Amino acid sequence: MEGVTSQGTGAVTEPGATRSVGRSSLVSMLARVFAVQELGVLAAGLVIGSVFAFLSPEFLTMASAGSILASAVQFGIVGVGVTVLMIAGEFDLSVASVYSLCPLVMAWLWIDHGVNVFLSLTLALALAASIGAINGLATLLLNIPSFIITLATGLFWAGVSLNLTGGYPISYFGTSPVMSWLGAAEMGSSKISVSIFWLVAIVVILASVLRMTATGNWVFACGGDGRAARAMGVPVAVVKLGCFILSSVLAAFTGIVQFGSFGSATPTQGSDLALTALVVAVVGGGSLMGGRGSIVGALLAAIVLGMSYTGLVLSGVSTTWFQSFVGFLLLFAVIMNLRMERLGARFGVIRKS
Amino acid sequence: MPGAKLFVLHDVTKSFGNLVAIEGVVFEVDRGEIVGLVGDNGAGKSTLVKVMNGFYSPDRGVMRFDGRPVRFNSPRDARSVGIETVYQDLALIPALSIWRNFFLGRELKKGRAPFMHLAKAEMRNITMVNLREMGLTRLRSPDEPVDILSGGERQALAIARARHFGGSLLVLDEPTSALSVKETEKVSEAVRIARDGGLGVVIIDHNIGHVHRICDRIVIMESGRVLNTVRRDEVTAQRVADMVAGRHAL
Repeated sequence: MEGVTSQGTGAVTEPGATRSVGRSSLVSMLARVFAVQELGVLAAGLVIGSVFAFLSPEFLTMASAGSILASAVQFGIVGVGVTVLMIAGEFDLSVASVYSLCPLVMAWLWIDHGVNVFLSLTLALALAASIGAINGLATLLLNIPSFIITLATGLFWAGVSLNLTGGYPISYFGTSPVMSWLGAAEMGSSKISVSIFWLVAIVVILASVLRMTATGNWVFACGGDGRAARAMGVPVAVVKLGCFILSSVLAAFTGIVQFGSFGSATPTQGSDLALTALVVAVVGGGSLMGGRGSIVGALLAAIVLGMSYTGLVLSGVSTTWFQSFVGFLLLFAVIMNLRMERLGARFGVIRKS
Repeated sequence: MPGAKLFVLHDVTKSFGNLVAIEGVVFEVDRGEIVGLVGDNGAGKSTLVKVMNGFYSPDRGVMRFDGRPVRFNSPRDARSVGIETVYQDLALIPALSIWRNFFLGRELKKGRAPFMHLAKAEMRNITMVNLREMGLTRLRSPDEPVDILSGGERQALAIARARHFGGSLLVLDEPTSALSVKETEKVSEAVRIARDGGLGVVIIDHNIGHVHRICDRIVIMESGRVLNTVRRDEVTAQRVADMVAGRHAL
């Protein structure tokens, strides 16, 4: 995680060269605070959480936590995939269609056609990987912005979803352990679905890869300046293709976790998820220009969105206001992120990279 | 081959269709030497440099690197023998930190798969040591983004990187265009340090005054040919400028 810094670089930091950092304990403390890249979304989360806790006494209960985390899983897994792709400088608007198509394909194979459950799951994820590869190859070979390519493929796959079952959902009423692992089971007596573990595992792996490996370095470089990255020997096309596949597979996996949690796959579910995933990436500190973004930030953004959704329900406001709320949150978090960065720069903050 | 010059071009010619970009060019640069390449627009400087760094293959002529004949089919070939080019756009990623840029594409790793990860502390230290050697003492931390560096500092970073990764000949394309006097001096300092460390350096520059201050030898080109080669201590900057402008008789 991009933690705190200031004088932490020890041996390589010249004492005389540190500007205001360390001049007084207050400034040093502020510097440490501003060195947290995800400060904007964290602030938004605290404000929103306090408001809902004040409005509704049920907001701070276990049942509410279960609901918040269930939404966070949905927004989060798709969101981190889209975040990685956005850091690499590309978009994926087809995640919403993949999110509904792939669990539907799994359910169709497994429940309607009696295919082995693991084979159905694997085939559904393989389909997602192929869709991601098509998105990537089309973008890179045709040299058309991924925004357009994935808008087109997204529309196409949404149509495939609707036609696969004639628009009807496929439901599961059994007690398969696979469904339990995916999300049907709850932890102990709490109302918290085990699906949260999938989110946590994916976040830990992706955050580590992005910050701790050469591959992660290349993802940031591809989005920061693809031409320069290529000049330094980074295989830009391969890296981007991998990110397209990742984003698509994670969208499919999110849909499959939802299917596991609720036992039903619907062709039309999550139709606004593509834009919500973009909101997660941007609120978490990502840049639409590429080259910047944070997995931990995206996770926090997903939790904030989950809190907002649950909070609106509990405080008696209709969830039909959720989108308006998300719009407001997006603006707030982006302004906060920019302000915090400038304030941090004034205090001479260096973020560990 | 001991005693051989670092990089020698003999009778090199390159045409594009009917246009002869450079013709019969003879050029050499040795270790510990800075050679400036000057000439008016269209004189053939860029083509010559692109032949040197493997961007173009010459139609005719011989190139010897370290005494051995070489033929480059791509910039990668040139890089593999030790010719590092610092382009005008520098191939730096502004949003990435200094050390991540320094090692981009050549990261140091430790640990075993699947837990192989970046050797961050080592890369931070190597980056700082290299930048200090290049005269960038103002830097606080290798974690700062390249964003905050001035134009001259970015040039110095790109030069330090090329030098660190086994370059024995540095080719700099217009390193000081759009830089202030102070920033230009930083670049000059970095170039001198690289030269004193035993590297050969070729610089293309429009600023004759700067070329004259920094280079050991100056090659003046005109219409695709080498018009003259002078030692810095033999001529004034004004004389070089006159030659570039075609006022040979003056």
